[in-house]
Formats: sequence, structure tokens, C-alpha cells
Amino acid sequence: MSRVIFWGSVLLALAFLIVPLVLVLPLAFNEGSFLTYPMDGFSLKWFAEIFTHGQWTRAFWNSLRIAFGAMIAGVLIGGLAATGVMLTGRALQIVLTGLFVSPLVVPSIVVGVAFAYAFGRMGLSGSYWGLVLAHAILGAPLVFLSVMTSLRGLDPDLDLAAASLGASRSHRFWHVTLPLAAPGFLAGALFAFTTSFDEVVVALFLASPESTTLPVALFAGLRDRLQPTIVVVALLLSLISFALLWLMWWLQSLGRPQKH
Amino acid sequence: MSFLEIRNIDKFYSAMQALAGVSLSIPKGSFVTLLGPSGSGKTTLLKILAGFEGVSGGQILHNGRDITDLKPERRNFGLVFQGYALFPHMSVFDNVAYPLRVRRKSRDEIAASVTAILDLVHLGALSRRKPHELSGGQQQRVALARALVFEPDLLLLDEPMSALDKKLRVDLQDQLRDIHHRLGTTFINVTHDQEEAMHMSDMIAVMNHGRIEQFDTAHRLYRRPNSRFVADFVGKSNIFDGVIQSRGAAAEFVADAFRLPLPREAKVVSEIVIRPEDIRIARADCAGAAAGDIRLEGTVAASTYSGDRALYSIALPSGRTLLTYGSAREGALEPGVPVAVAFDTKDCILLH
Repeated sequence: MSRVIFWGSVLLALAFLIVPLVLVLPLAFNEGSFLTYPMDGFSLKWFAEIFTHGQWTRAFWNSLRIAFGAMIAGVLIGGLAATGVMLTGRALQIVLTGLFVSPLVVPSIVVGVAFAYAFGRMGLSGSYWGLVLAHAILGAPLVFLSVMTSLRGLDPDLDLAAASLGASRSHRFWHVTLPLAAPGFLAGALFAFTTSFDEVVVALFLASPESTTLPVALFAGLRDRLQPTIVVVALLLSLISFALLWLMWWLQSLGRPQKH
Repeated sequence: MSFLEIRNIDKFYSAMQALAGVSLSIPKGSFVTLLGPSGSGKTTLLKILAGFEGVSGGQILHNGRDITDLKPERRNFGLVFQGYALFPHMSVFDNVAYPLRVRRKSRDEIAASVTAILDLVHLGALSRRKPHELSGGQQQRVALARALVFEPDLLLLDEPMSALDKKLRVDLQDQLRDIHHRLGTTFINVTHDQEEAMHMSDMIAVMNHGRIEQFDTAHRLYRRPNSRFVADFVGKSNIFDGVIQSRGAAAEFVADAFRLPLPREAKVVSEIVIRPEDIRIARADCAGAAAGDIRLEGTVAASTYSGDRALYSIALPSGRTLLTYGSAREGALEPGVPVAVAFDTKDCILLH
């Protein structure tokens, strides 16, 4: 009986999560130009349209460039913050952790408005660097938490051992701490990348027509022209997300200590 | 000026005092053990020597130079951690080579030194393995090799044997003593295991409540303990409380079970200690029974047979019990058997 309940609830939950996606995705291959069933026939013309139409490819490259920039800046900010916080005392650690994680707690619309005003005054609004900076600040807490978890899992004696063997603090960081916490840094980098790649709200406030990102373009398409191109973009985004998820899983399996 | 001079070290953790006025002079090339129960401050003292903890007062001098506030990486002291702290991402070779690479030695020099030290700890064949592929005893030897390869001025060992089983521990104790003889490096070992301390050390500092109770050779600690704590902690002992009664010019120590004439110079005696092996035991119905200056009657309360001999707990009429060893060639005496025990007055250790 309990098995029936188990499988029943698992299937229901899966159906709830997956059925809408599965229903929409075939429409990417629709011959007609409406998002409706029954499909008019099988066609790849909307894929062709995406790759030939400048607007989508530009948005895709913008997203990629911004996500890369945000990832690098986020890893630097979050990773250094985590490494530094680990060196402080217990009470300070709690306060600093709260501060570094706070961008996660603030609603993204608030962050978006704040950046729009601030960058507007600084002349950064609509620029590549403005978006990178804003996304880096959203991604840094995720890097921070991921690196923190990695560092906390390290035996503190390893750093002491390296010190007793004559290694300076920077030597210890590069040769002992960093290699052992690398899975945390990599997972954090991926988090930062996907956060930026999927982000709509802040990008809506900050992006200009030239620097528009893929999610923003998708959002605009949804409003202006409801065509199967949107589903094609959604499908491609999902595939990229799956690839990143798999990469994350693989990295985590690397980080796990090997057994005898 | 001795090699390492620990002067009057105090250490407070907020209000808790971990070390109280600890002073020790450690001769060059000696094997010293800090022995004490948990919470006695021995590990704190080791951390201070390694440079991981600061002091609240006092000084450490190394060859006359004040190193109290020197960073651990500048001390050139090797340290073997309780959990070994081997770098899990490096092979055995790379672990041992680490301190040499930090010191920017040449590739050839590193290869030669690492090979030599791995041979010394009998691990030459395993240099390509990762730490998690080694047994506990092998990991311990890698940690030892890594802490010795850069020829440190001092080797600190933090309960290096505590995670190993008994048989392996004795083997490694022999190896460690052998390595100490060969290299001549000064060793400071921390342990709560008094057998380990007696087995390996030239000198033992018995610690309790953040103080050094006694700093002496194993033999003197055992035969001439200067406090009840040392007598109790090092080896098995029978400790008797009593009062001193004067009898004209002479004095006597009066315990509940017996009286002991005191030598003239010992006027202040608070307790006396008798080691179990100094007490002879025989069945009470045996002709002659046990002979000695002081002879007591009792019954066997409990016995622990260990093959070569048996440890008896003897109940005396006064109610207290006495520990003694007896021959067990015909098996241990059963509980309840009436026995006679005896010892010589010269074997009694007087505590002041």
C-alpha cells in the first residue's frame, strides 16, 4: 500500500512539473505560426528563423558575455569574501555571512530599481559593465555560500600543518586551500553563470535595446509577437540549463572524498 | 642556557586558565613527553610551542632567542598531528616534499631527501599512493616523514598513537624511539598514555590542571613521585592516608591498616605509596606465608589474570583494598580466599 502511495505521489509531482513543458515544447516544430494544437505539420523553420534573425543571436551573445563577466566578477567577490570570512571569529562570521548573503533576500525588483537609478546617474545604465556588475552582485552570494560550504568541510589542521611545514599564508591558500575547495569554487561559478543567464527583472531595468539579453528578448517576444520562435528559444535555454545541471552534478561527484 | 627554555607560561581562554606558570628546560636531542589527563593543558602547551596559540604571559626561548610571538611558519619545528593532517590531494611523495618545495630546494635535492626519509619510515614503496589509500599506521609514518624531512630543530608530536590499535602502537613506539636515536632531533611528545610515555621518553613532564607536577625520568617518576597525583597517574599504586604520631625521639606514620616508623629526616608526611609489585602475597594457610617488615591479613576481593601474572585486589579488615601482583602459575586465587600480604618499610614511598 505504502509503495502505491509513494509512486502515486512521485508520478503526480513529476507530472505537475513536467507536463506543461512537455506540452509546449513540440510547438517549436510547428509548421504554422500559432502556438496552438493541433500542429499544422513538422518544420524546423522557426529554428532557422532564430539563427538567421539578428535580434535573437545578438541577445544570445549578450547573455553569454554578460553571464561570463558576471561569473568571473561573482567568483572573485564571493570567493574572496568566503575565504576572508573563514579567517574571522565566530561572532563576526555570523554578521559578515548575513551581509554577504543579503542580495539573495532583497526582492529582485528592488535591486533592479536601485541599480537603474544608481547606474543612470553614473552613466552606466544600458552598458555591458552595468549589467555585469548587477548580475555579479546577484551571483556573488551563491558563490559565497558554495565556497563557504567547501571551506567549512576542510580539516582546519591542514592549514596548520602547512604552516608548521614553513608555508606562508599565500602559499597555503594557493597550494592547499584552493585545490581542496576547488569544487566549491566551480559550483559557485556555475551558479553565478546560470543566475545571470536566466535573470529577467534586473536586466529589464538595465538593458538597452543593444545590450538586451535573451530572457529579456523572450519576455518582449511574449508581449509583441506570440510565435513558435519563443518556444524554440525556451527549448534551447532548457537544454543549456540541463547541460549546466549535469556539469554541476559531475563537479559535485568530483568533490566528494573518495572511499577506499 | 638550554636548547628550549619555557619560562613561566600562562594561558587564559577568557576566564578559564589552561596553563599556570609552566616552566621547563628541554635539553637538545632529548625525547620529552608531556603526560597528563585530558584538560591538563598538555595540548595547549604543544600548540603554543608550535606557534598556533599565543601566550597570556611568559616566554619561550629557543637557543636563547625569544620565539614567543614568532609565526609557526618561521619556527622550523616539525609537527605530527593527532589526525595526521596529510594533504588529501597530494601523493605520499608530494606530501613529504611539501616542506622542501616551500623552502625552494632543487628538484634533485627534494627527490634525494624524500626518498631517504621514506626509506627511514619503511614507506619507500608507497610513494605514489594517495593518503586515503594507506592504513592508519602508514599515514602516521607519512606524517612523521613529512615533519622530519626538512630537518626541523624540534619535532612536536600531538598524541600520534591515539588512533592506532594496541599492537601497532607498540611497534610504532619502537620505531619512533629508533628514529629519534638515529636523527638526534629533539622530540616533544604529548600523550595521556603513561605506558607510551615511559616506553619512549628520556624525560616526562607530568601535567595536571595547567601545571607541571613533576619533570623527571620515567624511573624517578615511578619510584620517587613527588605528589599524590603523580603516584596515582603513573603506574598502579596503593596510597595510604594517615597521621604522624611522635614516640619520644622517633615518629610513626599511622595509617588505618598499619604503622610505619619514619626515618628521622621525614617529619612531614601526608601520604605513603606502595607499588603493587613491592607487596608479596601468599595463601594464609601456607607455611611461612608472606614475609616482610609489615604483614597484613586479608581476603582476595577480585583478581585479573593476565597469563604471566595476576593482579589481585585484597580486601583488608579495615575495609580498604590493596592492589598487588601474584604469580599465577597455578591459576589466579579465587575471590574469598584468605591471604597474607607483606612489604618492606624501605619500599614505602613517602609523599610530603
